[in-house]
Amino acid sequence: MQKNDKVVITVENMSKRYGELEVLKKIELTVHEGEVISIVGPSGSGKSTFLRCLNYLEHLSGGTITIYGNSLRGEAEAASNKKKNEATAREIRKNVGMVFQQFNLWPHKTVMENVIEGPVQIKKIKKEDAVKRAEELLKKVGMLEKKNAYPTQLSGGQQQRVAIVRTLAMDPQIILFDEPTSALDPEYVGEVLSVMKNLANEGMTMLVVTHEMGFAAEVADRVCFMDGGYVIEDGTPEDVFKNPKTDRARQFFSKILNV
Amino acid sequence: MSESIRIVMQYYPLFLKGLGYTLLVSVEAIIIALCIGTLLTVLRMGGTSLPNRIIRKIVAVYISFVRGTPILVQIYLIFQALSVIGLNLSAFVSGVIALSLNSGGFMAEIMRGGFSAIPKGQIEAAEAIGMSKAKLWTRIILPQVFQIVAPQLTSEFINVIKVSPMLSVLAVVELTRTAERLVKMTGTAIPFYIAIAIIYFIICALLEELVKLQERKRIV
Amino acid sequence: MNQFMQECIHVTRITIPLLLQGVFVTIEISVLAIALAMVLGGVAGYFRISENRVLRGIAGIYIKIFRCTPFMVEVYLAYYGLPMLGIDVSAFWTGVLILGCYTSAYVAVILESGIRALSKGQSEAAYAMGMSKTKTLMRILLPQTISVIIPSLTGQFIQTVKDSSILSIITVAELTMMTKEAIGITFSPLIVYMCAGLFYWAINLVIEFTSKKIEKKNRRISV
Repeated sequence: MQKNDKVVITVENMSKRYGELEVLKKIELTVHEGEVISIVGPSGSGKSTFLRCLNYLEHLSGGTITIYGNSLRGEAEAASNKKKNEATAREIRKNVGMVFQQFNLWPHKTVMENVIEGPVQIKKIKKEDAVKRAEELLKKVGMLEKKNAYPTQLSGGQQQRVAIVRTLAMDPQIILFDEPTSALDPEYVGEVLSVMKNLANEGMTMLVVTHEMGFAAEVADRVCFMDGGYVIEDGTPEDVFKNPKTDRARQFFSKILNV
Repeated sequence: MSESIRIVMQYYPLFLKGLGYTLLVSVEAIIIALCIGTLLTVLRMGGTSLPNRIIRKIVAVYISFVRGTPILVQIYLIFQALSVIGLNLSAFVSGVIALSLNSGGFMAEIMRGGFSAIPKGQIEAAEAIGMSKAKLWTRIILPQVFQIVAPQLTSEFINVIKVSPMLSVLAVVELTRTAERLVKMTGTAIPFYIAIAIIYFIICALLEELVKLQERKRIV
Repeated sequence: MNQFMQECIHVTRITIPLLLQGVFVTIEISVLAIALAMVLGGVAGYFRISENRVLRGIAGIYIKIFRCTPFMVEVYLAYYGLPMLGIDVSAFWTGVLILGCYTSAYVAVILESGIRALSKGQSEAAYAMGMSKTKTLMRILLPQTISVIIPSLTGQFIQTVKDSSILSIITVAELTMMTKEAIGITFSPLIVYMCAGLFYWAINLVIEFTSKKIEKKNRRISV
C-alpha cells in the first residue's frame, strides 16, 4: 500500500437535515489518497446517508465537502448553493464511483452492456476499446464467462462483482461502498470481500460502510464509528476496536465482536 | 363572458334535471352491473366438469366482446335487439340495460382480480369446517372481494358517468342531451358545453378523490 | 327461416364494402391519435416526474381536465371551439386532435406510474456514474418501463379505437358513421350493427394478440 499525504476528500462541519430531523451533525473527515476507511456503527446512525452525501445522492444541509478541489456547500445556507452543487456534483462523480447494497445493475442490459454503458455514453470511449477494457476487468473478478448473461440470471455475489466492475470501468479515483455485502447470502460474502481486498492492495481510495468487522480490521487503514449522526471515533482499527474512547463504541463493539 | 354565464344560468333548471337523469342512469346501471359482474364471477369460478367449462367459455366470449367493441355500438345494438324481440322499452330503460351489460363485463374482470388476491387457504379453511358453497361465497369470498376492489369499483362508476352522455343518441334527456337541445334552440354552443363539462368534471374529480381515499385505507 | 337467411346474405353483401371503408378510416384515425397521444403523453409524463413543481402542476391539470370530462363532451367542445380559436380544420383532423389529447392524459399516467414503480437504485446507479437526468431517463428508466407498461398501453390503445366511434357525431366517416350509412340503405339496423361490432372486435383482438407477442418477447429478455 502506497500512502501519501495528498488529501483527496475534506469534510468540514457538514450537517444533513430532513425537515426538523437532523441526521448528520458536525461531520469532520479528511481522507488521503490510497486510504481505506471503514465506516461502522449501529443502523440509523447516518453512515449510509453520510456516504451518499459525498457524491450528492443526498443533499447536504450545512458545511462543506471538498473532493479533488471541487466543493459542495450546504444548501440550507444559501439558496444559490443548490444550482452550484448540481454542476459540482457532475465533476465529483467523474472521480468518485459507488457500489450499492442492492447492486442496482440494470436488468434490461447484459453484464457487458452494464459495464460499457458509462464509458461509452459518458466518457465517449470507442465501443471496441470499452469492451476490451471491460473484458480485462471482468476477468479479474472471474466474471468474464458471464459477460452475455442478464443480471437476473446471476447470484447476488456475481451481481455485486459485476457492479464493482461497472464502477471500475469509469476509472474512478475513489470508490464509495454502501454496505456492499449486506444483501448477500452468507456464502457469497467472501467473494465480494476478496475483490474489495485486491482493490485496496492496488492502492484504490475506498470508503466502505459495512457491518463486516473482520474486513474493517484486516483491510482498513482507519475505522470511523458513527452514532446518532456524529462521527464519535476515528482511528486505526486497532485503536477503535480495542481501545475505544467512548462508552457508546465500547458497548457496540463488545456486542458485535464477541458474537 | 358575462353574456355566456347569463345565457347558461337562464336555463339552469333544465341542467339540474339533466344532471338528475345522468346520475339516475349511472347509479342504476352501476348497481345492475354489480349484480351482473358478481354473477359472471361466480359462473366463472366453477369446477372443471364439461358444463362448467362451457359456461366459462361463454362468459369469456361475452366479456371479450363487451371489452372489444365501442359502447356506442353496444347501445345501438341493444336498442335494436330489444325491439326485434318485441320488447318496446323506453329509451331510458334500454339505455340503462346497455350500460349495465357493458359495465358488468368490466366489473367481472375487476372482481376476478380481487378474487385471485384471496389466499386459497381461506377457502380450504371454510370447507374444512363444513361450510356450504352458498355460505362460502356470501360470507367469506364476496365480502373480501368487495373490500379489495372498492377503489376499482369507484373508478368503474366514474367510467359509467363518463360514457352516460352516449345515451343522448337514444334521445335520453340526460345532461349532454340537454346541452345539445339548448344548442339547437339558442344557436350558441360553447357556453353550454363548457357548463356541462364543468359539472362532469366536479363529479368525476370528487369521485377520484374518493378512489384515492379508498386506496389509502386499503393499504393501512 | 330461409327468407331470413337470404335477407342476411343480401344485407351483408351491401354492408361489408361500406363498413370496410369505415374500418380503414377508424384505423387511420386511431393510429394518428395514438401517435399524437404518445408525444403529448410523453411530454406530460415527463413533466409529472420532473422536479419542477410548476411543470408538475401544469401537467397535472392537463391530465385531470381530460380524464375527468366525458370524451363526447370534449368532442363537441373541440368541434365548436376550434373554429372560434381560428383553427379551421376538417372533422377528421378535429377528431385526431381531440382523440389524441384525450388519450395522451391516460398515456401520461401510465408512463408516470411505470417510471415511479422502478426502484430508486436504478437511477441512482446512473447518477452516481455521472449520467445526466435526460440520458438516465432515455437509456435506463424508459427501456425498463416500456416492457412493464405494454399491457396497460395496449388496453389504452384498444380504448382509443373504441372511443373513435364517438367521432361519428361530428360526421367523421369512420366505422360507426359508415354503419349508419349502411342502415340507411339496407334498413336492417340489427344485422348491420352486429357486423360493425364484429369488425371492432376483430381490430381489437388483433391489437391484443400483437401486444401479447411483444410482451412475451420482452419477458424473455428482461425477467
